[in-house]
Amino acid sequence: MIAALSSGAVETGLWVVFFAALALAVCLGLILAYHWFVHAHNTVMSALALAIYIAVSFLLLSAMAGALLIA
Amino acid sequence: MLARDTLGTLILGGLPFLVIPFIVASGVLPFSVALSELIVSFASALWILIVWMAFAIIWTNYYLDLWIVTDRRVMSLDQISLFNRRVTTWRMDHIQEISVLVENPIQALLNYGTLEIETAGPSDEHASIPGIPQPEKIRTVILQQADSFKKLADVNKQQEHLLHTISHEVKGYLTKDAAALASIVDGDLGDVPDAVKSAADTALSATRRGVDTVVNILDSANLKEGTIQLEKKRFDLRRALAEIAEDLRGEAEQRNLSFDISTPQGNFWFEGDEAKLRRLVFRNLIDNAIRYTTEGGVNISLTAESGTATFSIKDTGVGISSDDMERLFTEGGKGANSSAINPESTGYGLFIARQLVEAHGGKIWAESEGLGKGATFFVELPLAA
Repeated sequence: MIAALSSGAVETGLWVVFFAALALAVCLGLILAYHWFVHAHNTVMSALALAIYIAVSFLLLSAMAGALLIA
Repeated sequence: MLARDTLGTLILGGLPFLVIPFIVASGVLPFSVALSELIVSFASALWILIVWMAFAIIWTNYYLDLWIVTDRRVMSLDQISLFNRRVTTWRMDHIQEISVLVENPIQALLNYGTLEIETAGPSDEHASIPGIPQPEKIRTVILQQADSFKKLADVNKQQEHLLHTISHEVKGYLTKDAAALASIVDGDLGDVPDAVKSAADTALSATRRGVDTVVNILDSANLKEGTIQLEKKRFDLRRALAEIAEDLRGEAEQRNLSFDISTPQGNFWFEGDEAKLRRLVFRNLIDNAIRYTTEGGVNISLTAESGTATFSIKDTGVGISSDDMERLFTEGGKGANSSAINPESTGYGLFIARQLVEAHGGKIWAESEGLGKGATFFVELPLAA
């Protein structure tokens, strides 16, 4: 059954997964931002932690999107 | 915990780099080489993203754990998961013993561990706070603080006991003095010269004020220690209030103040210590309103709603500043200018009123728009069924 999938269908499926991962990463980012800025009481540390989260997530999502675009 | 989770995350995150070459080489994916490589690359990045998000959650949960040690209590704010936060407090005087648990080489190397706190209270408790850095040092600090707190509490208790004993003795002497002076003023000891009578009258007033002050201090100490005896019985709040208001009306009129009381018809049955409420709450509040009002008037009202009676007394007097409002119902808390208007004020009246109202399940508060704008005091009491 898997073998029967066309290359186009696989790519479409991967794009769907990509956008789901993107949405998940954004939602988690918002939740983490809320927690850090409400409970951590340390603006510098909160900003740093969020910057690292955004940077790493962006890097990984870019890698996923890059792989799809190159294909 | 964090070290273990971080290690686990790194291993999980690195997994694709170990597995990918085998998947591609084995040719298990039934696609072309290019598509297989795409799927593997995409899945690897996705896998690392998911592991990274899990790590971000774990690290956030760890960083948001907070321990606060104050001179009165130890607080632990434990972020269990993203939307699950537990705040636990231990009172310093309940802390009995603290032990430190360092359970593995990683904890020993990174110098962190678990603090186990044993407390003595209504129910003996045993609590653990994991992930504490420098646990030995923290243990010493908390135990020193708990020791100081207990010593301070003992000294406070001894001082209050001493104050109570002295007040009791002084009250006895003053009461005897007042009786002797009253005998002179009333002529029980025969005719005395007018000058002596006048001096005795002045001394009698001062002695009675002294007795009142000492009684206030004793009442305050008893209320704080919970040793005051409340003689509760059913009485009509409306009648009690009307009687006190009528009693003090003359004083208001002497000062050229308007004096209004509005109460609805019917009985306001309340179960409480009538004598103490009359003297320490109602009379005290009305007396204060008259004393601190130089022009305008005093308006008293009593209402009932949903089984709660609300007594309010509004005046057009000196008003209360926001600074004074904060210490209004505290022990010895007087307004900044109150001594100039009422030199006899001890600062205990409203503190006692609050303690007494709260002991009856009610609440008391004041509202004022500021200095010179009058004030309104409210007392809420639950009516008897």
